[in-house]
Amino acid sequence: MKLTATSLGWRAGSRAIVEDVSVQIEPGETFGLIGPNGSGKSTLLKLLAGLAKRGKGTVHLDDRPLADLSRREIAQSIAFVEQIADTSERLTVRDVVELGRTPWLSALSPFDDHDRSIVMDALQAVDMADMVDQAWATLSGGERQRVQIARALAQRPRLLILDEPTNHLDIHHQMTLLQLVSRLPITIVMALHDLNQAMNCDRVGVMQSGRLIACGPPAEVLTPDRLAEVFRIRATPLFDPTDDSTVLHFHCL
Amino acid sequence: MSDAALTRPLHRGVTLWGVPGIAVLTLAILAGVIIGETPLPIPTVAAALANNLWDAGYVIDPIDAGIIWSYRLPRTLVAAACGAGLALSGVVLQSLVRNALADPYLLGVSAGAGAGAVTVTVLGVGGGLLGISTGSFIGAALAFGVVSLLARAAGGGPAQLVLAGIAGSQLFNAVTSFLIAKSANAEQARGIMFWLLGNLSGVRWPDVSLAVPTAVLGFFVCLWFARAMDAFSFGATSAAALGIPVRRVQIALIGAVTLMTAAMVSLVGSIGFVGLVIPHAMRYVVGPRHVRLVPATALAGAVFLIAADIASRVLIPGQVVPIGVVTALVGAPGFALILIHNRSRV
Ligand SMILES: Nc1ncnc2c1ncn2[C@@H]1O[C@H](COP(=O)(O)OP(=O)(O)OP(=O)(O)O)[C@@H](O)[C@H]1O
Ligand SMILES: [Mg+2]
Repeated sequence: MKLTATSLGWRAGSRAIVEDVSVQIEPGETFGLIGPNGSGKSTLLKLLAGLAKRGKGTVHLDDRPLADLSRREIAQSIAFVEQIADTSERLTVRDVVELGRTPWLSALSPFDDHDRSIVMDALQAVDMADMVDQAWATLSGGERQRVQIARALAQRPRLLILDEPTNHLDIHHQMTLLQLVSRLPITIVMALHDLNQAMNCDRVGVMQSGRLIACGPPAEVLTPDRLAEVFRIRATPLFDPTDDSTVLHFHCL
Repeated sequence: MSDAALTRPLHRGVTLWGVPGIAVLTLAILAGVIIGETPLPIPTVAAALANNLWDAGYVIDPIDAGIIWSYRLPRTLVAAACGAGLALSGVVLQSLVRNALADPYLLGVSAGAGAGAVTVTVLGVGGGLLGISTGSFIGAALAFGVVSLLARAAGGGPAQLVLAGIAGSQLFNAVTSFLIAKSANAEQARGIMFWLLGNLSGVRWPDVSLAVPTAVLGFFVCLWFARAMDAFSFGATSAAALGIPVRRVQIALIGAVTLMTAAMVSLVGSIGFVGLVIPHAMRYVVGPRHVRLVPATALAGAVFLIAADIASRVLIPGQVVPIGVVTALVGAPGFALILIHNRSRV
């Protein structure tokens, strides 16, 4: 699914949090969004999903303006995993993942075996299938993150927006999650903090003070000069002969 | 309860839970008619009901017949409707504002409804059942608006909401007291004070025709939005991301809550704790999913208030304890348990 954003903006009072961001996400691509804390990544993702109130600019989903679609239609196309999500309800893992089916259910099409199998597939994909009956409140941070991602997968979206999905995950689950996500035949937009993970995206966008200052293939965008400017670090590319990949090594400036 | 119960085709769910539910409710209503200061034997009650429902023509004492048909039955039906309505209001508010302490009483909605009803009664504008209910509705809506605005202005956290609710309750209760002091005569004042504590003594059939349809309507609105209320578990943004038209659902549900609270308060005064304690108790029994929680809460609320009404009639022989006092005697310890339980989870 193609997503076209034109001149997106969002203000908190007089302060511009996101300003004049235009970007086109191609069908099937994995798009990484990087930038320092407070640069507006989460806000931009909300704008892309049509979830920010009083946002400026327009978003088109396959040439249809988001504003013309109902919330339900949007949710059938776009799933969104927030950076932080918590509840005080005593939900189980299964309850939470079942929420992902919400946009597909109605009084006439209630939850059935088909939905049940989608939920189980999603739980398996994030390696949480043997904890279905555990209470949300008792899960570890990484387990919660994986359950939220399973919920988003159960939504069967064509565009998956993830806000720091690898946050809280141990290294194994970080890698399996990114592998899972990049193998999905859908469009992915995700905010990331690990620049080496961003290296594996098809394209990356760099946010700085609310603006998208660069956008393109990782090798072109994540140059030592730009990283020095945006993140105030010195990055040294190192070559790993085991899989012919380049990894970045960092020093404080 | 297994997961299958949630997802089983609707008609089977309805037979599985609906039939026993209605049976329990019917038994509770019968108990409400039978038990009282003068206990009436079951055959007499059955005969009186049959006489009135399909002209069966049994011969019974006209005084007994009058107590059963004109006094106890409408009173019990209104108690059931009020219990269901108030408990459902609690479920809806707790889901929408994501606060375990939300209920129409604590958030000042009941106080607003009371102030609205008293305004109409004392100032004599409108008058009659419909006038009082309308005043009550306006008061409830106003209170809800004031409290939510104040909570938001104060920062929007859960503690702010409860504090705003306290401020709102105090404000609207003060309005009520002021109106009584200023405009009511002594007899009116006594009547209003007694009614405000929660009182079913004056309930007659016309009250039933307001309470029962309101509760039934509110019940179906809540059931219709059960899945939407589930989606609010992780907050409004998350609900929107799951395809819920947040504004529209909030307006519909808050409209239903305001309507139910207003109708119930205008009929029986303000009865606390039902909306707080019943939904929490039911979460333990049927879990947090609203498809089950809504029917369970409606049923438990109805049965609880019928029981409280019976208790209010028989607790002190020869005297009626205000039903609000009974619900508070049971509800306050229940509320304490909720507080303690919530602490242990943080
Ligand atoms: N509702 C709001 N009111 C005021 N300021 C806000 C609001 N929402 C976000 N901000 C500010 O906007 C800035 C950008 O926030 P955002 O969450 O988009 O950053 P981010 O790039 O996702 O950061 P992080 O890497 O820490 O997740 C922050 O400085 C934040 O304080
Ligand atoms: Mg963020």
